[in-house]
Amino acid sequence: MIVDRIESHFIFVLHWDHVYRGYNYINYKGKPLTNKEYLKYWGKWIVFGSREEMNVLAEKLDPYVEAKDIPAIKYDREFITEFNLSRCVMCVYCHLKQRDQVWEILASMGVEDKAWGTERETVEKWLPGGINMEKWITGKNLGPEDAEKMRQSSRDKFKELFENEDAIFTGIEQ
Amino acid sequence: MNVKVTLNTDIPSVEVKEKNVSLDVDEFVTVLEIINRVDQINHGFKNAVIVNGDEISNEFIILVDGNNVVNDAGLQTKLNSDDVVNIIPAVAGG
Repeated sequence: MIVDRIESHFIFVLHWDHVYRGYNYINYKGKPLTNKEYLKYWGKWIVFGSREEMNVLAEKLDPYVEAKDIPAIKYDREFITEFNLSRCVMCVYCHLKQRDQVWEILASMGVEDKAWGTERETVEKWLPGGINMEKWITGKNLGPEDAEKMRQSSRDKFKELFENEDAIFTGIEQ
Repeated sequence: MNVKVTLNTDIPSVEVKEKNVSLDVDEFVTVLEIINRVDQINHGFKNAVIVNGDEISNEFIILVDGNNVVNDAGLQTKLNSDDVVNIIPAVAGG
């Protein structure tokens, strides 16, 4: 189902059971991933387009999410101006071992340009000194004190992920 | 052999004439050689994408057939026929 909450920058395509029954879509063959496995295996196909193109693609992909052939999707409600992006970005999430199967679905929808990114790469980009974190701080014109608060918040957010490898991954606040 | 190059990114310092480039190249051409060819079409492209002589700028991710070349041989990654080189902004997908 498409989850479009105006307070969120992202629009999500999630399984009904995730939204209403707490189903954890970050799994492989039904087994939830540990933090270590999440960083090693979880990733996404990255798709670019206009908001209208994203909406159309999300509608087409929704049945595949409900069938659990695609674990989850999120895409930008609008361009992220802090990053100077002139197009919306859609992330189609899955386990590394599912990615070829998920790509086949995307290709059948007319997606042509392949771009696979891992969640480890994304987490590293949002750590202090990472390109996303520092561009976000610059884009928001944060002063030194607020910038440091943001960096500390990032350290706190990802601490569990790196320090408790064997714990079941419980998500990252969006 | 033929490879396709797609620039899925804006590059402020480059006047991009073609975002989708199809190139006839020799077998086992490297990513670096592809960048040189694209630079002949979109002047300034190489200077934007490669820094410090031989490093990929942290502003961009270069993918061959969907895979980030830093996980392969970087700029020396060799291409096969019908490979697609996709260049995206590093900040995308966060």
